[in-house]
Amino acid sequence: MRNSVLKQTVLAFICLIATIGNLSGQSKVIDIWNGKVPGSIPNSNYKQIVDSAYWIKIRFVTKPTIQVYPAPADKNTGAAVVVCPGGGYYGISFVGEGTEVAKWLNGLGISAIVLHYRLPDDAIMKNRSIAPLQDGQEAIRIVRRNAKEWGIDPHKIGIMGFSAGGHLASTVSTHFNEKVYNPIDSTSARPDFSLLIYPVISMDSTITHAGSRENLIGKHPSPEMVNHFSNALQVTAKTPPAFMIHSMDDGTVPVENSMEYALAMKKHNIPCELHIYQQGGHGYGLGRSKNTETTWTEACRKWLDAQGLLTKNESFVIL
Amino acid sequence: MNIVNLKKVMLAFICLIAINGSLLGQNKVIELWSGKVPGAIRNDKFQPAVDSAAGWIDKRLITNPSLDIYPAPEAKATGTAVIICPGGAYGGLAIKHEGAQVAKWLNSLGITAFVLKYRLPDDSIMENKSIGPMQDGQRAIRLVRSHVKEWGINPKKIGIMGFSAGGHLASTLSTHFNEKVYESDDSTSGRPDFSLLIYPVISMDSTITHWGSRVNLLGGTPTPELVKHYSNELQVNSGTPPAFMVHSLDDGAVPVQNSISYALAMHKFNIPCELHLYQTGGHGYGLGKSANTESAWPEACRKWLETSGFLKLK
Repeated sequence: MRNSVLKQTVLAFICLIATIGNLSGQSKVIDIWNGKVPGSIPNSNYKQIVDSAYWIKIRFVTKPTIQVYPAPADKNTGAAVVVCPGGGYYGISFVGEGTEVAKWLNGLGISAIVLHYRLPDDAIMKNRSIAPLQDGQEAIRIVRRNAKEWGIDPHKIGIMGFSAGGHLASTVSTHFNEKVYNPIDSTSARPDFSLLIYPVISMDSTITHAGSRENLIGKHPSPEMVNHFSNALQVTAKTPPAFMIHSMDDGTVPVENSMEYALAMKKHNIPCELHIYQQGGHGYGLGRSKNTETTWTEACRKWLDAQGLLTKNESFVIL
Repeated sequence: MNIVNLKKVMLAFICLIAINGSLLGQNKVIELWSGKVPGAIRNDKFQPAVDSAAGWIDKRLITNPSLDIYPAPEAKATGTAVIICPGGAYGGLAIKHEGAQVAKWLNSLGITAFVLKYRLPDDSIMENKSIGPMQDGQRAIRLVRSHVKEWGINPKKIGIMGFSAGGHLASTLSTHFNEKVYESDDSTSGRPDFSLLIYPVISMDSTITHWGSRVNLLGGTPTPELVKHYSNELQVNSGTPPAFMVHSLDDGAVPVQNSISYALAMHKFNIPCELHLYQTGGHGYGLGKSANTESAWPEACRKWLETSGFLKLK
């Protein structure tokens, strides 16, 4: 066998392995609390299930995890995004707002970390309204602690959320300094940017998503509790820049949620972009119609590019 | 005069001709009122004046409002038409980057474009300055609608577009199209079929308006009724046409709340509406001139026009 043919064969073989690895969606699953879930109440009757009624989702999460999808080495930008799927704080839409999103981010050279957070439930936690925030803060910290090993720039770690996951993402963006558990070190939980897709932002009864509100803070929350988790009211000068989308005809989460957050960002002079599409309704993930809302992924790519997050960075290529 | 100087003079002369040609756009110009401008006050001090360097028409030019016609190329004509209202704070008209350039872009989409050179509010040439621009706008829509056959336009696909204060005029025409502001027995509808509002002034409310536009249109001390009447977010009704809107969150001239309040009013009446709030851009960028995200608005607009059915070939 001639040398060049040998080389070609070896190359083809390497490509084949890489393709198989990629196709099978090889991701690393990490138990974010190593078995020590803060504020948890042991409950042996509580079992995680996959429920496919209406839409496919995970329910009854007791052991929150992250699924790590590293950016392909040849286009790694060093940027990473922790993805919070939606589901009304009742389920985790882990496919359409999870794995599919991770693959899209990988295509942009971004490492994706899909968070399966605990859903508020008095049966397994002492303080249900902070459980998702605990998981969200720790997810950011884990990514930042492992940045070097995972080929990630510790200053380019974003958070993304869909619907109720957008509430969690905006909560982490505005409550990253709130001490909701004892972290093992001083690693920052502040995301460097937020991507909020048809997000729940407010817990105010006039514009909130009632299901998410009731699941997170109960049927009769105090006004203080409502304000605390109405994230437009919690924006400060430290809140990270945000890219947001919403559909005007969203019949589940009113568009006012995103408008309020954008106006709060403007008040504090924090870079923010909000695309309000005419159609789409709610829960369309990466987009599934031929209407304008399906262009949001391209608008998002442009925004990420304009922030300098899509520049290929050789120093983060893992060999 | 030596040769070099002569060359320079010749060059300057050629440039001057080119600039004038470009400003006039070499297109057909149609007078709106055939000499009978409603509510006009004769004023000989108002002489045509064009500041060509800035691509700006000073208001002294506009005593006889008109439309510049830019027909869609035959091969890609869609039958859709858009009347463009350039901005300029109701004190001038940015007819180049919010007029001619926009018309050429619309032509590339197969849309016939009209640049409206509307009168700017001024007590010395009009009896009621607050309705002057609206009179011209309503008349422009009726004029285009009554010439659809001649110009190859679908009478149900006539949109209005406005930039900045021109966006105030465009939103005024979208909400006050039934208001009788001039005497006429013309029963042609003055309702636009869609609106394209680009960093528009919408409100005259002192908390969010563009102050210069408000003073020029309504004067220094307007009554609360007049303010409400021209705060178009309060005038949206079920007859208001669908809108595509663009604004930058860092707009330091016209607060983004103008567009948000219009979008919320549209939402309230269940009228199709799309609003892109870009992170950057400031104000007055026309079709976009930076490498930032706001320069993507013409593509977002094209997509909206397409999904709304306005870009189908005739």
